Amino acid sequence: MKKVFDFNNVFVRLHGAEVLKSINWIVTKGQNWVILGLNGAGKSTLVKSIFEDFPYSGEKNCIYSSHEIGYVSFDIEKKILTSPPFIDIANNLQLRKRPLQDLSTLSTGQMRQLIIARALDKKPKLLILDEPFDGLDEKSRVEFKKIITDLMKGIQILLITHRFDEILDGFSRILVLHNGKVFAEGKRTEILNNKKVRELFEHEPVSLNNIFKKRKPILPRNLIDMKNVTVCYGDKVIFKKFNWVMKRGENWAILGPNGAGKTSLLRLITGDNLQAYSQNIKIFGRQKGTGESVWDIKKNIAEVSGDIQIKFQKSITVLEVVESGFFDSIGLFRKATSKQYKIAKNWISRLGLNNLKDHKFAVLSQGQQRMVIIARAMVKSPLLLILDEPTTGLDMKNRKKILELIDLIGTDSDTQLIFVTHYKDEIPKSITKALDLY
Amino acid sequence: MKINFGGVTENIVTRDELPLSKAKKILKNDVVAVLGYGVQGPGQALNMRDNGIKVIIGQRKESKSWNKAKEDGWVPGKTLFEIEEAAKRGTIIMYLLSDAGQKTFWPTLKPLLKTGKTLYFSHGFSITYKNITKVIPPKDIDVVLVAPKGSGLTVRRNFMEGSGINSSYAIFQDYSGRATEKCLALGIAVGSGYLFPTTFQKEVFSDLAGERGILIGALEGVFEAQYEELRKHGHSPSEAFNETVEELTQSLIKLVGEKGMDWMFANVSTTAQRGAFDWKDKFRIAVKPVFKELYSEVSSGREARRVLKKNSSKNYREELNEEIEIMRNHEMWKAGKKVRELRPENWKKTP
Repeated sequence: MKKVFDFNNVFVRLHGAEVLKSINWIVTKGQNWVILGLNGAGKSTLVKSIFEDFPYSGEKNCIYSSHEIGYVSFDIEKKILTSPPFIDIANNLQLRKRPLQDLSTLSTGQMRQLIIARALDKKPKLLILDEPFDGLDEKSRVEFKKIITDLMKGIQILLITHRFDEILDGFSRILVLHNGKVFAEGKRTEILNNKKVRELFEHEPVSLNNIFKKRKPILPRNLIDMKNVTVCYGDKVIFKKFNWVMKRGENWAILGPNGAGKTSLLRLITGDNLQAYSQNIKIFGRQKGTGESVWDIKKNIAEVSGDIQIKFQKSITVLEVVESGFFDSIGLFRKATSKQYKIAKNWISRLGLNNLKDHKFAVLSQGQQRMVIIARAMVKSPLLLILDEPTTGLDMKNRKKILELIDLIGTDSDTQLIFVTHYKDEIPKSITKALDLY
Repeated sequence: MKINFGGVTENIVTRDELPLSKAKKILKNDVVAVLGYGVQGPGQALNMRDNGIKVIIGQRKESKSWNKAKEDGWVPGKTLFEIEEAAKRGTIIMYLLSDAGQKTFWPTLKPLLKTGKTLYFSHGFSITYKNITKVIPPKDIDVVLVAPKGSGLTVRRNFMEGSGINSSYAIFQDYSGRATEKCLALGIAVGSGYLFPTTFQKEVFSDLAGERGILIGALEGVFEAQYEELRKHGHSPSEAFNETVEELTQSLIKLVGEKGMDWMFANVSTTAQRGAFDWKDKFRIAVKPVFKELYSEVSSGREARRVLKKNSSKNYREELNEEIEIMRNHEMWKAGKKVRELRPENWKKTP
């Protein structure tokens, strides 16, 4: 069989660290591969080094030029959101009938569809999907699985995923990466039945008990009260006459397909959607726009979302990102007190990020960054914790850990939860209310 | 807080000295009317509203900016009004129209500035050149200035990230005896971190001299001079552009920003270092008379008169477009476009 690419004892160094070590990997024509591995294993670097000019030693060859390779990832999303020329590309795809004036009004799922469409637009010979299902709603996931199955008939595909149910039938080969090295590779069934591989992804329960203190805050009866809320941009209506009340003590799941307005709803609460000022919205019992400052609101809210993660792309360390949670700032502009430093360090350690503490946030893998953003949200014990698809990018171990943590917050702490997800089976038991947007 | 700038002490106000809670108390009985929702308007207005200040917007009805204001959550009849109506309702009037727009609207605004109101500027132009602009405020109001050192977008973005922007502030007229505290409170409310004292006149003179000088005008002048000389001696357009503009913008000026020109001189090659030291004074002496003339034109008001006259002439748009077109078609900037395309980061678009 003809080789598509091969790695022969390849080492890749990025940002002063050896990310890939002694990689030997041959992919021949027609093989569809899945790449598995924990957060920070080097998966994205591995697939990107097929077409990017990372500095490397050893030998690697690929029969395709970078123009013949399509790549879909959260990374690309970041680039699109931060560089205006990409808006033109988005427009050229004519994904929507109206031209895109402002990409920031797109929902997570719409953004994801846009990026997939963009990669397919150049009719690639090799398509690399780096966690492509993240952010897609259930229906879109089913559709996209079908699209991948169809695509596999004509295009060779590499898939990075953290969920075994996303390893579709057409994927005959699996490579498992661990700490930058090939941990196992071979035929699908062999790898999936390999005891060592299974152990690698097994979840070790972590003790997070007794970390929350009940403070019994004095709260109004309704934490959030929205009456007759209408949000629109030009003639695009996001909500019309929407009513919702979140009472004291309640934990809510927010469900609904891509584009239903989940993210917009959260932004009305956090103060990031300006139209909150023209609507009948009470947050923590106070009508919006009656002399409160946005910082008074943010002080009581912590947030985990792709939005926040994308905004933190400056030169800032993991510890600083976590400490910034105390000040609700994007970047650290105040010195944390020694008490705050201790709390931040504790959360970094609880979430298994000790060895990354002084690393620059930007060089971390997507999954590692997500864990840091979760630690940032945890430091201040907020009244309201907003989790917008919090497990995006997390490996199986981390996902379980975070879901356990969220459940614990729901039961053991004063913090109330708003949990947005496309995976109904992930909703923790402590969340008893659901808002279904459609 | 007194801060020493290379031997000269300046008295800077910080947001730790004047926290938001204090600023809000100072402004608690005020309604701030922001006139003009163009460039500086939105940033300052949104920040004040997010800080819990009572803010209303004055904007021409059914204009593009009116609709933008609506999308930003301003409600017609409640927080969004025609300019005159907003000026009537506000106790603090933020006059954020363009310099030319301020001059035109002034006769309408002036009678609405009742005793005890505050008139706020973010640029000292209209007041400093009042003989030309006829913007002469009534004696029984406060007149203050806060000029954020960045575009409206930066003012807003920094605020949302939880940092802030540094601004200068000035008092032109203190009728109430509270002009300074109001001015500083407004400075904090619009999202300033540090507030540097200045005067209306100094703000305008330095601003006008700066943009005509090193920031834009003089810079283009020396670019052209050097580029043309290199081309005359047979250097290719790409080489002439690289040695004139590209190396400056892509490498050197960033290092100057980070570490200063003194560091640059200490760290370039020995050849560059000797030459730069020996030639800098020749340049300084050569341009000195031009800067002297520039400052005198600005401070005498002749520059402002000229600009206002030109800006309001009938064919100004067409004439300006012609000038812009000529620069766009200058070989240097056409070469620049190509050079930019060839930068490593643009070699290959992300697949």
